[in-house]
Formats: sequence, structure tokens, C-alpha cells
Amino acid sequence: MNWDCAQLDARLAEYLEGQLEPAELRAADAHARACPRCAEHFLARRAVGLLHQMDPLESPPGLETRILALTVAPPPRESLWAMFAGAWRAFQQPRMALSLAAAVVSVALVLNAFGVSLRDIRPSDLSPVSLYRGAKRQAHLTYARGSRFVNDLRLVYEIRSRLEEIRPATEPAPAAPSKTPDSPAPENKQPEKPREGARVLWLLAYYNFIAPGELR
Amino acid sequence: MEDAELVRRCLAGDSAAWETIVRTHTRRLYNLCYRFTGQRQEAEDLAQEVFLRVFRTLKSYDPRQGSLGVWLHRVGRNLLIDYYRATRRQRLTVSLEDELPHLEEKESAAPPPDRTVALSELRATLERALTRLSPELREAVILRDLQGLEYREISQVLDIPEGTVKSRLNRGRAELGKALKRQPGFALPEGVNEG
Ligand SMILES: [Zn+2]
Repeated sequence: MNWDCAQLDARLAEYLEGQLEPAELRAADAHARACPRCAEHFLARRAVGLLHQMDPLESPPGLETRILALTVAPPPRESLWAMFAGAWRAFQQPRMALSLAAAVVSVALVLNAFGVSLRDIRPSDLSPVSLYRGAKRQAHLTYARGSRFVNDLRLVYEIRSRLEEIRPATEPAPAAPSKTPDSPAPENKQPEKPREGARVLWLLAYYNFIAPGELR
Repeated sequence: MEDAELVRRCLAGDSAAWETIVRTHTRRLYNLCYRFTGQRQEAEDLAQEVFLRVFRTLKSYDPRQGSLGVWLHRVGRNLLIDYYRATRRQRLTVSLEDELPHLEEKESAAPPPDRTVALSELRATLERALTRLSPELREAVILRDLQGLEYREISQVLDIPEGTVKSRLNRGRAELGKALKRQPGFALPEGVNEG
């Protein structure tokens, strides 16, 4: 039994969203296919069906991290968005990626020379909040002052999100996670924690070893 | 945790509460912006700006006007409308690159069978058609058919009555259907969208 135009109009939203009972849906479809006036509903239902099948995209790598970095301290007066867009575009240049790679290498050497063990650093030390608080506590760090700090912290996040993006191609997959609570370096096995390369850069920026200018 | 409580903790300086909000909603907001603009870079910038604005105005959150998700969508939607107005002229001279359809990554992995090709072309057509709808129709369709909001929530986001939401949805969907009609693969998907 087919529906008529009035029946279809009365339950159009349910029809378009595929929420009718199967028998009703068949009757409605049969009418919409055959009726010139309702043909557009048939097409619309196809469109809605396709929309429902579209999977949401993943967040771009580093976006959440960057948002958090931008909101750990009161923002400066200028439009953050405009300022940030500029810095972000600069990072997308191939030359930038190269000098970033060079920076990672030299940073690792410097750290080695200082005898800093990366194993001793916990991811919580590197969260934007502890970084911010740490900077506040240490008066000798110029980072403690206002927007300069915000801008530099932003750069650090930028580096980190960059590293998060390139990681799948450059780092081997982590070993299978162990269930033992006291197994060494368990933080490496959780995907959301900062990775080794990113940590180095974090550390460096934290101790003011690298200035933003060196990366440009 | 209730949205109001989460916001209260944020305002009290609890950064973990703010991080929870960011991590819970970033992906959805990014998708909202991406579906509206059709461009990943713009969507990323816009989604980021949504959270900056919300962070600055957290104090004004009123749970009676909707969930935190609704509020974030409202801020996002206002930003998208601003973006739409600001780029209207620019869009007339849009570059070829921007015109390329953005397919989901998973579809480009292996050479798919014909049916899948037709389906992904249909989807690409639909995505393009969506970004060409008028902003009033586009936002309604995105909020309902992609973001899955209730009619009541959409009415809160857009600040219009539910009846208007429904009529915009009908018009927007009809226009998308017309765009599909011109697509050769359209006759094919028997059973593709049942249910
Ligand atoms: Zn009819």
C-alpha cells in the first residue's frame, strides 16, 4: 500500500531521517519515487542518508594541546587568532621542518652533555599548567612576564604539535604495554603523553635554552 | 560531572576541569567548523578560536540556556557566520586547490570497487553542495544531520523557534538532494541508505 502526498508531508522529517517503521518507509519510498511532486523528498532522503554515513573527522594532531597552551594564561590584548595564524603558517614551511629537525638533534646533544636523563622527566612536569607555575616560581626566568611568556609557550606547543604530527612516520611503534604497575617508563605507552622528542623541546624551552628566533 | 559544576571548577582555577572541557568537545567543534567551511586549515583556526572565546567568557555560561555543548556550538556558529561574511568576497575568486573535494582519508587507501568509487563521488558532491548552501540552511543541516543535535538544542544554538529549524532543514535537505540528482552514480545506491 503506497502513501499519498498528504501522508508523506505529515511525516516528512521522520521520513527524511529514516525513522519510519520499515513497512511505512517502503510505502513512503514507493510514493516518493513515483510522484513528481514528492520526487524532491526522495532525493532529500538520499542526501540525509549519505550525511548520516559520514564519519566525523579526527581532531587535527596537536589542536587540543594548542588550545590548552593558549588558555593557560590570560591572553594578550591583540587578536590571538591573527597572531597565532602567522606563527602557524611559518611552521608549515619545509625550511622550518628542517631547522626543527636540526634543533632536535642539537638539543639532544646539549642535554646529554648536561647529564639530564629523559627517563627522570614525568609527563606531568610538562603539562602547560606546571610549566606555567614552574615559570612563575622561578623569578630568574623572563618567561614569567605576561605576554612574552604566552607567546613563547605557544611556540613550545607549536613544536610539540608539529612533532606529534610527524611522529607516525619517524618513530617506531611503542612496545606492547605491560600490565605490571612498576614496569619501567610506563608513561611512554600512553598515546596522549608527550613523546621523547617533544619532551626534549619542552625542557629546552622551559629552561630557556632555545629562543624562538633560533628556530626561524 | 554536570556542565555547571565543571564550569564552576574552571572558574575556581581548576585547570583539569578546563582540560576536560577542551578534550571532550574539540573534535565535535572541529567537525562543525570543517563541515561549514569545507577547509581543514580554516576549521582548525576557527575551532581554536571558539575555545579561546569560551575560555574568556566562561563566567557568562548559563546552564538554563543549554548544555555546555550547545553553548560551544553557539559560539562556533556565531564565529562561522562572521567568517562567512568576512570571506564572501574572497570566495568569488576561490583558488582551484580549495575547490578540490576533501575525501575521508580511509577512502583513498586502496583502489576501491566501482560501487565504492561511485559512493565516494556522491559523498564528495554532497560535501561540496553543503558548503554552497546558504549559511542559514547549511548550519541547520550540519547541526542536525552531521552533529546529531536535537531540534530543541538546534533552536537554542541558532536562537530560532523549533518550527523554523524544521523548515530550514527541509529546504536545506531538498537542495542537497537536487545537487545529488545531477550525479551519475546517484541511480546506483540501491540499499545504500536504507535506514
Ligand atoms: Zn506526492
